[in-house]
Amino acid sequence: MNIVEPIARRAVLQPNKPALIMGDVTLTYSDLMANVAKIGANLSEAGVRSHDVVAIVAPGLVGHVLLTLGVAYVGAVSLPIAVGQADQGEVEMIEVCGASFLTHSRGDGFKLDSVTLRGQMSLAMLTQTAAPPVPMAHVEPGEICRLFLSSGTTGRRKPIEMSHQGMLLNALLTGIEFPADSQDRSLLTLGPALLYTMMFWLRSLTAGGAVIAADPTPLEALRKHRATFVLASPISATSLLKVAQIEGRLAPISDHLRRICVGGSAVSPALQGLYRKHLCANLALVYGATETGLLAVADTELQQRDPTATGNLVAWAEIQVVGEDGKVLGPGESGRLRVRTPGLANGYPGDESGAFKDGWFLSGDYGTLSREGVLHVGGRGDVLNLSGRKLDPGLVESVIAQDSAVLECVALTVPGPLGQPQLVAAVVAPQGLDEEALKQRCLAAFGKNCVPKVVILESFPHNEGGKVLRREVQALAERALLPAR
Amino acid sequence: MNVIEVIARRAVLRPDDPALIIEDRRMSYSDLMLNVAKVATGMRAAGVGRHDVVAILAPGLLGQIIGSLAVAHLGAVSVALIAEGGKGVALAAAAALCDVKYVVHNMPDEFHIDAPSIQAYLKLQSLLSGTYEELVPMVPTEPEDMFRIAMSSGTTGRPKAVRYTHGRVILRAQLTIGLYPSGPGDRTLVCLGAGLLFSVIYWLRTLMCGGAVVGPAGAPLEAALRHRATFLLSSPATAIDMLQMARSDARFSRPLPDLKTLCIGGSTVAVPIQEALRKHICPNIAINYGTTETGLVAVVDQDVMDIDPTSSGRLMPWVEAEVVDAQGNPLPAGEQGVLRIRSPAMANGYIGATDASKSAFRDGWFYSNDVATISQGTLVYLSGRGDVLNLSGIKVDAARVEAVVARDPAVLECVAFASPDDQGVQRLIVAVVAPDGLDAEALSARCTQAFGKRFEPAAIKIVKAFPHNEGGKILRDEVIRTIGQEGNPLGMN
Repeated sequence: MNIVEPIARRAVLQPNKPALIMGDVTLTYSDLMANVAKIGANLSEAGVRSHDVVAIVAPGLVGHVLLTLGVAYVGAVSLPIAVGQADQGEVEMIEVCGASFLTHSRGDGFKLDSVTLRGQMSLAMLTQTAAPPVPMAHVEPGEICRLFLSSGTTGRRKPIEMSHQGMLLNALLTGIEFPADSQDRSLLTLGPALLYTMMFWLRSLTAGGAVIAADPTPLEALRKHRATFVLASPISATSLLKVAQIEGRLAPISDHLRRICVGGSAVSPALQGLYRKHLCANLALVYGATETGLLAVADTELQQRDPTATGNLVAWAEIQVVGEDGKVLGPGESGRLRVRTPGLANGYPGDESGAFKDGWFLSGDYGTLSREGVLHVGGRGDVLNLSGRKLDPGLVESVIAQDSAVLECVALTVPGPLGQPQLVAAVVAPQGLDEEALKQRCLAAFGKNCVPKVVILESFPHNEGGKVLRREVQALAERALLPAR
Repeated sequence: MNVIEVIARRAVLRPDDPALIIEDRRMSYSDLMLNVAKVATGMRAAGVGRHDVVAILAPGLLGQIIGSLAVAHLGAVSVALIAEGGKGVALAAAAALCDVKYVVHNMPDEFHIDAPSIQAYLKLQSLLSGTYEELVPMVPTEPEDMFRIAMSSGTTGRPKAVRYTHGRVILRAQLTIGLYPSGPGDRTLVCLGAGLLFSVIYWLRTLMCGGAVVGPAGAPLEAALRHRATFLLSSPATAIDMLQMARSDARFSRPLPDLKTLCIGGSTVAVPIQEALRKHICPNIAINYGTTETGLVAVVDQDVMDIDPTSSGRLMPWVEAEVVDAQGNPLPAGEQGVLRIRSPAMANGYIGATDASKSAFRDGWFYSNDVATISQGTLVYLSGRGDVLNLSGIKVDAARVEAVVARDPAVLECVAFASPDDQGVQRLIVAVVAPDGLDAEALSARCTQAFGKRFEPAAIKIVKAFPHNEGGKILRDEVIRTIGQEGNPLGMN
């Protein structure tokens, strides 16, 4: 089934209800479908056919959703590209993925010259030019609708193939943990191109709810459009938090907000508490990957019982913890995570790494799974090697973060005066930090060779999805330690 | 993944929460999983292994839930069979079709099914009360491993065995949660046979979410009130019975306070009945259209009520449905034809189907026998087919009813069909050619004995002759139309 089909059905049931809200612009379901059909007609007129890859440069919500659905409407494959500061790496992906067309929400003068394309079309042209209407393309369940690019925190970006059925299941299954109906108003505080955000906007649109863009700012959109649900990363949630703290309100940030969902990277117990207090008491922390969709959710009950837990494994997903030899480990044992879900991506095109094998995806993440299904994810298998003593950085970070002043932290090593590795705790703690207590906690937990030097940073660099860029933190920490050495 | 894995996690997390509530008896999650492991251990000792087919003959929620989960615990395949008076042949045929190796039951000791594949009979009560030194661990299963065989009247009224894997059942149960949210506080009252796959999906999803499954134990309304049911699963017939009761009891002048959804499956519900149900039982009613083979296809819910409550509902977002002609070619929008359905959560196929090209499962689709139109790709309108009688959710081939009617030698020809009464409820009408007179009372008794009280004819019309085509076949539609033109065939006002 085409991912556009359930939205088209919603347009029949509720043509005049709002679908997309961005600033002062509201698109109803019938507006949405009229535009999608028009984009489809123009793409078809321009020669776009089933399975063609169409790059999309559209950072804003409305343009991105319209172009994504327009491309799917004709059975073609969308490839979101972030051409921010003429990022050559992104532009290269257009060729790597074999895109033959480009669509964008920039001005009519926008053009990429560095790549060979059969056509470049603006959103304005696609929605305003009259073209003979075409029917929505019928697609088989396994046909690809989207190429996502992997986050690239660990190296080169890779395209990930997602089918129409996989994408739709990811959206519908997300709706199980985050139920939506036609009264739902979901604010997205991060870019609409990621799988994380797409599964949420697709969930809202299949359920007949409204999707709200963070325009002009997340806070203004939240209040003006009475959002009932906010999707955030730790960065966007923390920006909202700062405003709330400046306002000094005792009550949560909005009276209409029912739930806030934060995902992208781990959130320290201190930040969890602040989010619950100032943003929304009903906080959900989510964990997943572009290759797998949603895998675990930590609700407020779990956050309070075990603030270091990543979440409860969702009912439709399977996770196996495997050892280096590929053997499946038991409950509580630490190893690499292997995942199977109905919404699993089709794979990396042409990839022979074996990450997708026998219906499973071998993740780069490591962690443990308890008998009751509580998942603890601890880093990406990095090990801090302290002169023979091996420590899991995730474990060290959970000890560092036990202080409610610690908003973010990274455990790392730097070469000491004699070249031996020295443990360092890089910490973001704007309210001040009891460094001595931190050292005592680490001493008690790991012994005397594992007492870290503490580096306080104003903030950490993050990627688009909200993940901490550990290598950059490492560089910042090394720089901060230079005068001391 | 094994269907019971998620429930087992619930039992570790919240062992003391109630899982089952039947009359005054409560069973916690830890007790439920202990009982499941005991029954599984007893079955293993009797030889039940992975992939073996185990028939469960245990009317009632408790036996069905524990039995089904215990079979899954061993990686074996469960099928619920129903033993009814005079249906011994059908039972044996069903057991043979499914290749049943073991029977778990709470029938009398001498209970027997005449099927050569059966190796052993195990009494559920003995398995539960057995003492075991060590309980067997759960067998991990692959998503493609079979979990269940569901017996379906299918499209023709002749029973078929439908295959469901663990993966499909988990997905089917999960997808209903997006439609009807569920959580640990939920109380699901199941007022349908607990072994029906439709029921299985709803009690499974409740247990997966940490809620409690409530058995009706006689009066459904009383149970709903007493156990503060939040979700009530019912057939149209049971819903109508509840309505009659609610109308005569002052406590039900208002809807049940805790009930969030009244979910009705089996057939359409007339609009006046829908309104009365909203007034007396639950403001939020949802009428499901689906088949055993595909699961939920469309729903009449609040989103549809405002547009057209006479439709069979809006298509579910995970379901594709197309109207096709007799050759299986899709028809243009709005035309009437046979409905074919595709869904990631539908059944894997039939057991014992040999000719793939003639199977209702082909090219990834399920070809139903329901004739329908689809409006704007969204709303489904079913049109009665005439040769399957659907009386408040109980489907019987018209030909089978006619065979029972025709057991009286005085009956020369007959046509059985359904027609709505003044409440909009489909009732059985029998048209008979019997020039020498007819024992109407005996005819009624035969029908109810064979198919249940819903099949008591509301009217028996004696006519002189039926119209036929050149081949000698009765022109059924013409018979039904002619009787319709004579006025209200039920003679009721």
